[in-house]
Amino acid sequence: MSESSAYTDDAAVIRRVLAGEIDAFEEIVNRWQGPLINLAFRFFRDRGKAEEMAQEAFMKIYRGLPKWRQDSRFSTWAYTVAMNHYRSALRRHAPPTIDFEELAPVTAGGDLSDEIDDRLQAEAVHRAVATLPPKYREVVVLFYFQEKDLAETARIAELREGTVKARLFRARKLLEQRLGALILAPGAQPAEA
Amino acid sequence: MNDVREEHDAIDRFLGEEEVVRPSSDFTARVMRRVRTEAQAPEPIEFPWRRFLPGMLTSLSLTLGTFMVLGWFAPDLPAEPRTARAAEILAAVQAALATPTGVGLACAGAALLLSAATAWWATRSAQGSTGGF
Repeated sequence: MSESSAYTDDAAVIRRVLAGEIDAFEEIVNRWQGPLINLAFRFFRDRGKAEEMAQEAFMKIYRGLPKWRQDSRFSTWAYTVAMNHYRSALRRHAPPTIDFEELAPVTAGGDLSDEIDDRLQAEAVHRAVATLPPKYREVVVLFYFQEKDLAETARIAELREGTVKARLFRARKLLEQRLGALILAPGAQPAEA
Repeated sequence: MNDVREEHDAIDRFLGEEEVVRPSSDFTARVMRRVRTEAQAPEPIEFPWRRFLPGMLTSLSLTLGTFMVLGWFAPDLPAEPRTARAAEILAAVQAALATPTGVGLACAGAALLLSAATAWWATRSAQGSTGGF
């Protein structure tokens, strides 16, 4: 299904829900459960928690349907509602602290296959993202993990594009500082001063 | 410099790759159960501002009126008699409180009557027999 037809379909389904056909909302849940659960997982790194948060987000979306102005795409609005919900939950839970020792095995990639090494490095990067301050984590998750472009990320996060760009830059700097040589290719030597 | 570039690319590459979480098979059913429950629930009862506000305003007006009648805001009275009047009222109230007969009983009776009247009026209003405001 193309993006524009999904947009039209969403609008049609929502009109049915608002007209009293509650069961039509199931189509919306089926269509968007994957993205919203995955978005939550990027923040909370826990499948159970991600589903719980996505369920709450769907309830907020359902309650807020009459407020959805159809001049914006439903997906953008739904992401914004979910994002605000996850953001509030994140404020209540401080980000986990990252333990350098936990990341250390990534450097011991000498005798590991490239595949395992990549997996460990990827895991280290994702754990490091989870330790970023929420305002940086939001834009990183939307831009990279949810594969939104700059404009869409800005709309969902309700920020200006310039702010998103600055936060992405700062987030990458923080990740570089935290991960440093850990994410260099196996066998690579740190730069000489 | 090359290492910095390499770090940068590696972070970008890893950020772009992430495992996809598959929803539980009953996720949709769980959400829809909650949605249906919520849809069937009666609408929350709104606070009856239309009934409350006139009552509140009447009550405030009566209170203010009582104070005015008692001379608290009488503009032609000099300060001293006004203070004396206040002292008299205070003394009367204290006396009534000190002796639980006479005025005290009358006050209690009046309060009971007022409560009963309020309850009767509220019941009638809730039943819609007064036709609202």
